[in-house]
Amino acid sequence: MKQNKSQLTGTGKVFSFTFLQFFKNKGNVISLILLMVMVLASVPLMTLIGGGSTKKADVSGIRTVYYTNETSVPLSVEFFAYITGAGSYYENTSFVSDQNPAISDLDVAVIFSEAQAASAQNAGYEIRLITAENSAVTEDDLTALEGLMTDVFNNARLSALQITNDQLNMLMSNWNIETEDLSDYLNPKDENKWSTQYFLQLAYDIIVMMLSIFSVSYITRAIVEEKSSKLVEVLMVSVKPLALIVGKILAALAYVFVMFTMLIAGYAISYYVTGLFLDVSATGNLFTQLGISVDLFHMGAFPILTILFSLLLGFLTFAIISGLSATGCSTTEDMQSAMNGSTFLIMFGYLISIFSGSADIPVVNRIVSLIPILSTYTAPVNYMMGNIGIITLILSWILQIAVIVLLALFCARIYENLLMYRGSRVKFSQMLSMAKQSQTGKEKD
Amino acid sequence: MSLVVNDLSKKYGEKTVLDHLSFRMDKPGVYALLGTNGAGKTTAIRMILGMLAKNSGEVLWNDKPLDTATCNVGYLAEERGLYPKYPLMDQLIYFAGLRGVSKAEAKKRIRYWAKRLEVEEYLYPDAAPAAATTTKPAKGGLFASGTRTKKQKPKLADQLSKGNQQKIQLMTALISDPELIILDEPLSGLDPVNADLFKEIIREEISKGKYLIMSSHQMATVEEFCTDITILNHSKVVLQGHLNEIKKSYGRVNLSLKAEQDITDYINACGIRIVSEKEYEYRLKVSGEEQANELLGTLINHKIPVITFDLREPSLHEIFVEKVGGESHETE
Repeated sequence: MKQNKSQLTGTGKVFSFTFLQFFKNKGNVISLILLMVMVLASVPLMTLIGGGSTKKADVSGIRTVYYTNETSVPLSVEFFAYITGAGSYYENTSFVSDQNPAISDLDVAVIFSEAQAASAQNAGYEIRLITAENSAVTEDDLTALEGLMTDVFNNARLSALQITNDQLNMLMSNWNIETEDLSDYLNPKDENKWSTQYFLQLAYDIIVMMLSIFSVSYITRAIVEEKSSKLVEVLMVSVKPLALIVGKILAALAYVFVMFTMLIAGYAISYYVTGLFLDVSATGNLFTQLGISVDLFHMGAFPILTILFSLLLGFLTFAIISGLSATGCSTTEDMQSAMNGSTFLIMFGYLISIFSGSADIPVVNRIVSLIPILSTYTAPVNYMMGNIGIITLILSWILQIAVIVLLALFCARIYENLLMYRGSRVKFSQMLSMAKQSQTGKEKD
Repeated sequence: MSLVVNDLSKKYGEKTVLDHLSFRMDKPGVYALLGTNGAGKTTAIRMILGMLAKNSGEVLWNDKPLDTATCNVGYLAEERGLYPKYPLMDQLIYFAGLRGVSKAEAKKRIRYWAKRLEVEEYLYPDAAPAAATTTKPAKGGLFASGTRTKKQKPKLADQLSKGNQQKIQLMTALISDPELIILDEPLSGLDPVNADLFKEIIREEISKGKYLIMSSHQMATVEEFCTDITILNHSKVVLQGHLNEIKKSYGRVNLSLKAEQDITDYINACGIRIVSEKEYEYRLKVSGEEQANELLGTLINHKIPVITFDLREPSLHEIFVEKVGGESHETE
């Protein structure tokens, strides 16, 4: 059947009605509220579970640090002057050498001494921090001061030995040991790139998978509900099947995107509000620790558009497949089995892309970037990691668009034939033969 | 305006479900599509509306192919349906919007039809009589005085009775003020009160000059409204034409006769078949006016008082039964 512009008349109305009803649906509202609560709670919970503490102030709350050096190692007065400079954490703190200080609630006394040991081998040094009985100095400030005093003393020890900075770096630099075969030795891999690609692929795949699975559920429900409520026949007087299904798919797309945007905004708010009370730097550094940083993405307008466009293509592919699957159902009881097929395809693409991402073989990267469904997951990541060029990326998009158009035409034809179908769920093989015959269908009269 | 249905046929594989259906409506009124279950009525309607592809034939509205995008059509399908969990008002505005009615205009029309079909309380719950609203004590515990009225939520489709759902569905069909109205079994499942309400509305639409196509199993209803009919049996047209002319062609063969005594012998003597008899009240099947007059003459000659003598054409029900044979058991 020829699909022309008039076939899409009414798409906007179907879209706006379906979109609004998604928001009015009690089940959807409850799901959204639950997800939002989870997102809002995630940052403080992750911070607290991860050992995060209350947020450090910009400057130390300690007023005066009275230090006493009972060791033979001379402490550097210049160093104290350096750490108390303007803009530093200790800009409001005084470091005073005093053996018998009167300690107030905001003061700390520090004693550097030689440790008492049973033998000469166990001899060492001891740094003791003493606070007033009614001390108002926070645990964070004390922990920070402990670290600082350790650095001060180590620095003093090394300076006493007249070790230069270069010598110090040589002594303290990291090293590692690795066993590998000859092939790996001759063709070394960029481990940093590998881990970045792996985690980037994983993160992107999870986004695609979640968006698609959510969408499949909404599209299937919208179509099956309409069919089971026997409304389709009346609707078809006013809109063509293509407009009906396109309107629903776009409404599900918009709803899922709005939902995800709200969740991301919720996460941002949670991160900001939590940051006012707790130290969220660990949560913020999560991606950096995974080897993913903004620099690695080469993030600019084009990569962002690449991701969004690829997401859109992926969504449309899975949405049309789920629409097709839902068309074969007559009752809400068939809905789950209709979703299974689409979910399987989504998971299949997800797993293959994870494996291919971890294998990081150039030929495989190129092939999976060109196969529709797999390319939904892999093409944008491979492009950003430099595994494929812009030409391959565009070719991948063209192939995906072609598949989407063919699926949409196939879906519209099947949808038209099956709209008034009542009976057991139609299998994909039956749909194929139906599309060939074009005129088949089961009629009630 | 005119509607021409010309040579419509539909096949599924080797099975013909509609075989060369043709009819036309040159003036406003009601055209009836009759037939047993599975005869092809709904298929014909779906093909007229362009929902099903045709194997042959055409449907013309004002000499142009009927297109529901340009012809304002109202359709009450045999398979009734509403979104069960969506607010009724939203659904009605949506259906009106799909037929090109603006939201503001749709609201006006919904108000009119809600009143006309007596479903206001489901669409405008806050306008329901005070006794029907729920009241709660005002907030504030012991220190509060008076009551507050709980805001009533609009009903969802699945909270309505079948009859009320049918009224909402009729609203969706008529909300765009269509020029061509197709009603597939409009009265099925309605109680007598609501059936009368629907009939009244159908009469109003006829008086407004609308073109109606009606499919029904209720022959009395069809006779009440329709001027032209087509009877389908096993996908084929078995009878078609102007209802009165069809009846005339059968002649006056139904005789209702009431006497003051038993006249069975006289009836048998004239060779007339008795359909039913109860307390000297007879329903007879005659071959024509001559046979009826012969019986009347015989009774007069024998000075037998005749209380009623009513000679009529066959009813549509009888014609239908005759045409579709033993498959008429589902007609009323």
